[in-house]
Amino acid sequence: MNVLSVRSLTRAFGGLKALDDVSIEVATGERRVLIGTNGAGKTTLFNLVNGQIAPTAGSIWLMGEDITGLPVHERVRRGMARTFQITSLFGGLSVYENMLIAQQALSPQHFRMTRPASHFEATREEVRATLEQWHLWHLRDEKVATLSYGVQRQLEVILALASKPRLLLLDEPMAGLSVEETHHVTDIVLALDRSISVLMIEHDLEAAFRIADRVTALDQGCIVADGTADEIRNAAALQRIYTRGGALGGRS
Amino acid sequence: MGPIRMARASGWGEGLLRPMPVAGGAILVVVVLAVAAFLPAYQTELVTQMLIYAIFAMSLDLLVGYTGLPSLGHSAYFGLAAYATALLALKLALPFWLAAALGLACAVIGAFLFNLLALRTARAYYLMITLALSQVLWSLAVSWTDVTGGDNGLPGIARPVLGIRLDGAGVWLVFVALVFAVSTLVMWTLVRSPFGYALRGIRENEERMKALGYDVWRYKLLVSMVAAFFAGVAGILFLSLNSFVGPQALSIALSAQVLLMVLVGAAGTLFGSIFGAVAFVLLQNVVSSWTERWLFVVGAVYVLFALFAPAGALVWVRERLRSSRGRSR
Repeated sequence: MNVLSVRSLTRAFGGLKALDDVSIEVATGERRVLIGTNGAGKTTLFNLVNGQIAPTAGSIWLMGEDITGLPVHERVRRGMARTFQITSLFGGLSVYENMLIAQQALSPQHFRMTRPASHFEATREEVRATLEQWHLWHLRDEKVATLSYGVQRQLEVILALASKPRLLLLDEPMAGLSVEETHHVTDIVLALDRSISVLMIEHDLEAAFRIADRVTALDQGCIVADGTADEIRNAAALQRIYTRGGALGGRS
Repeated sequence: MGPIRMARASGWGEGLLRPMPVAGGAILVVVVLAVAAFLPAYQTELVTQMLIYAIFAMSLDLLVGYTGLPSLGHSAYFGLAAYATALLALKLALPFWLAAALGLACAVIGAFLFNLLALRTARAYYLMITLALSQVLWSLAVSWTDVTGGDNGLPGIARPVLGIRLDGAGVWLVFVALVFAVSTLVMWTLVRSPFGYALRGIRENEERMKALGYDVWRYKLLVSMVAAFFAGVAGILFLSLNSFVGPQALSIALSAQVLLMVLVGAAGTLFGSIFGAVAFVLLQNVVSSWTERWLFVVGAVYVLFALFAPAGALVWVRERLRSSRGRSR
């Protein structure tokens, strides 16, 4: 069964088609990576799937349900989570508070205002367990804005996972990371349970090919190649795109 | 690990038994009883005014400090509740408590309707639209003379009876202090609740909140209604304190003053607003008894705060305490 089906999706900004008649499917448990040069339409596709912007034409289906007209939070409630290209956290709050806000988002108590959050034992324990699992418990009191960039990227993925999504959208999770940090985040993605499908944008082709079951290449708003990592690595279309914009096979 | 220790370990909890709030409550009881028993009516009414403004400022802090909604029209709810209560008590001769309940309902419904429109905007635009909406009410109060009394306002509202008559300045102070204590406790619980943490999240990063599954608009609407409720409580107390309500209760000057109370005290701390309210009433009343140029002094104090404690008094004190503790280690 497909977790995500994008059908003939088009998005125009004035006269410019940022995405043109794109169809893509993500199967249950699949890790699909979107690649392409800057301006290829990858983030536009993410923003459309996530509901941040509305399509000009086409439809988006999540686990067999048409979600094209739903707002962002309703899509999240149906099992979709995402990270952002530019780190998007609650910088003025502590790591603990970031995790707490993410953890309580889909719990029944998220709208409660008559009891302090510290009285909800189950949520507290979940926050603690999650932070311990990802080795961040010792940083729980640190303000997120003061953390290193690598830890912030890691926290971003962990926050997205707090809603226990069926589909995880990762927008360039390795962007700006050192080689060591890239390996660490790659390992996190590889270690994800197969009940979670992943659609990921990645410029680091080495990491992308390591993670991907399938790779889809976009160029100027259209799909130009689609296949397994090995097939795509040698695809003529991809060679053409990347020789125009940079090297193929490593960090672009 | 027990709940209080756990809260401390995580750095975010504020257990009910924390020493500061308990000390604050004890100080409130002692001050209120001492003032009510020993000070003359004028000073007693000044302290009453401080407590009323503190409720008003804390209600605005829910919007400005916790949710990141910079409102410059908060007097709308203060005045709306006061006017509605006065009109219902005077024109329809309803009992005070019923009129007050309906007055509060007016403030909350007003906030609901206002924010259906205002929440389509953000940041400076939100500030402008709240200002515009409150000005509509103010001009209505000034121009609809038959109903509102125009510039003369509505005088002659008797203070309520609650088992005993609440006429005397001391008794009225004790009553206001009780309302203040309950309001503070309710708002304090709210900001520490899951709802309160969601508000902080909205203030910090609205897009991330949506991406986590929060219906941000609903939170903003609801907190606006809660804030309007407490602003309304303050408005009705103020009405009873003065036995009068006039257009000043809906004015931009009052909205700006309460915003300054929040900013001077420290936005997003709740208790900072209490300091802001106390400082404002002291400056306004004490300094004006020394010099006719009291507004100059008030302005200078605000400038000093903006320069040397831009995050507000409470944060300034907290940082000083933290750094002195660090040095002593």
